[in-house]
Amino acid sequence: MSFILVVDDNFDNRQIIGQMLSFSGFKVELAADAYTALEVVRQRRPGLILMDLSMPGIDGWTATEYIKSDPHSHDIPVVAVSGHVTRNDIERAKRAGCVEFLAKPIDYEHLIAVARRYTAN
Amino acid sequence: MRFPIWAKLLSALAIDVILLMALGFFATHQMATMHNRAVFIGQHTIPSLDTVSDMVIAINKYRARQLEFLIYTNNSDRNRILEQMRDIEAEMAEYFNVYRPLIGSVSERQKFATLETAWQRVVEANHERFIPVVRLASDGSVQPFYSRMNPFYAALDQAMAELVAENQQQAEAALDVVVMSYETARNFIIADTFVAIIISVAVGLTLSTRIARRLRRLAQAATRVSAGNLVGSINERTRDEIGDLAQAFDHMLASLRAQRAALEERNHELQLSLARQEQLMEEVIRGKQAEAEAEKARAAAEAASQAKSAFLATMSHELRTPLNAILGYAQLLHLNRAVSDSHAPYLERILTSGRHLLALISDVLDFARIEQGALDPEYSHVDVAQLVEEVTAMSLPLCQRNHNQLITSYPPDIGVIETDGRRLRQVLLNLLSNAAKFTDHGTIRLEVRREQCNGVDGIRFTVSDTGIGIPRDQQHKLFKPFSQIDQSVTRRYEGTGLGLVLSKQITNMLGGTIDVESDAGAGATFTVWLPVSPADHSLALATSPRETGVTA
Repeated sequence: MSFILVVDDNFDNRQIIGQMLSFSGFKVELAADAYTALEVVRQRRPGLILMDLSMPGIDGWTATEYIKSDPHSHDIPVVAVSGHVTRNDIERAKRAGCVEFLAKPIDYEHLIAVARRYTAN
Repeated sequence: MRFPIWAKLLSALAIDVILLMALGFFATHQMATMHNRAVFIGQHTIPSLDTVSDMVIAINKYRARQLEFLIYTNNSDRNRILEQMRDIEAEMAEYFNVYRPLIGSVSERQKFATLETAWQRVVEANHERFIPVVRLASDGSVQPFYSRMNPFYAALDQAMAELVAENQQQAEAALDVVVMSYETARNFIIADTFVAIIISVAVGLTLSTRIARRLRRLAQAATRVSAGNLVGSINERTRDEIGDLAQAFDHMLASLRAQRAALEERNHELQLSLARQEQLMEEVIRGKQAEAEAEKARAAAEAASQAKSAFLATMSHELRTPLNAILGYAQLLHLNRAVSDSHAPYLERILTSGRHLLALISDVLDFARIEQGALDPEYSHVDVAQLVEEVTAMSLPLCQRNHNQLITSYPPDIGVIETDGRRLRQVLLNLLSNAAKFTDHGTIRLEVRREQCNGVDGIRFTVSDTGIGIPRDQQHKLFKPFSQIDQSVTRRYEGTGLGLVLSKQITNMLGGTIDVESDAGAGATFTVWLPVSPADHSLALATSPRETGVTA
């Protein structure tokens, strides 16, 4: 069974999103930065990636572009998760290849609905 | 009258000329007199004396013939001598004839007549007595006869002497006249020359002094003028060449004064102009400085504004991050039922307060962005029916919480509006949430219809409730930041206090208006009107700026 990769540099956010998904029965893998995330993607191929956009080092947009440009991983759906709410940020995320945008704070029910939608098949 | 200098000089010289002329006349006259006298002496006295002298010789010859007549006794000699006597008589007559026109005076005439008479007597005595007597006597005693002729000859000599004396006297008189004339002429010439010299010197000195004095005045005036002093004038009234010069000088002075005045005026104008220019320059410089300062201030304001925006963006992110954690963990606790039932309400309060804080942060951020114009509307074509349905669905749980009924109505052909859908949704949600908060067991309506405002197509959204209402005297506070009507209300009815302010800012930004109609206890009706398209909005602004202002 495939798992959901949660990428966030913030410990609390990683914990909360991971716990919420676990509570609903999803298998979850956590990554504190884009390097780790890309490593996980290359080795274990998750079914869905929840990608924080604003991170030190490689940010979420760049990481998403990278994933989407790799034939090995380009079909993995990426959902952007961010406190950024400007239209510009959302546009950038969509251009990078994100299928959905989740605003923080994470609402449990909204999160689960999105997760179910992209892991159904 | 005009007296040129040449005329003055000439008139001064005229005296000399007249004197010279007088001198000439006089001298000529005197010379004529001398000439006359000389001529008189030459033509009259000398011939007279010559004639007298000839007469004396002739008389002596006559006497000698008488003597010969005595001596010679023959008739032929006597007749020859008599003939000679008659020749002498003719000679004498000739002398008398010569002399007669030379007679120059009455006394001379008398003396001449006396002489002639004396001669006639001698001739008479000779012919009537002497000769007949001598012829008769014919002896040698002739002496007495000859002696008898003596008185006649004495008278003749006497007359002769007198005539000679007369002639000598006349000659002397003439000589005297010549001498006198010479002396008079000499004296006159000396006097005349002297007077002429004196007059010439006097007139020359006077004239030259006067002319020199006037010329000096002119020269002084010219020096004054050349030194720059244009005051005063020569005021020379004499009408001659110097007067002309002085007048010309005065004219020149006046002209110079006028020119200087004009120059000074021009100079003054130039100085004024210069001052104006300087002032203008200063103003320009000041203006540039002000401009530069304004530019600096603007740049500073822009920098400050950017810093503020950046600060707000950062703050919103930084505030949300811990808040997200709080809300997330609270949700996890809730999901896991990790707290006992008795503590569950606390968890609920944490979630509610967290969400409130989050809304507050969002509102503050929006408010600040709109305030500084950093929030640009994102226009798109919005399906009004769909929007209303969405808003209704989102507000329904809140309305039902206070047991309220939510009624939505709009015409089926309500159509599309070109506006910022997200912001419009925010406004409507805010109004509906307010209505839900302040109404209990009542009815909340959302009515939507097309409505023109000042000829501009628009859509009117009306949110009305049957809640506690808003006192009229409090309504003006509604659209001001952080001014919920009273603090107790804030405590009872959770809200950020920024909802209506933001709603007003957003509707204004989108070219619309927002109004409230309410009274205490009578519920409240909020009306939002938006133009169908932003182009109409600008038209509405242009045609009726008053209507675009929100009346709260």
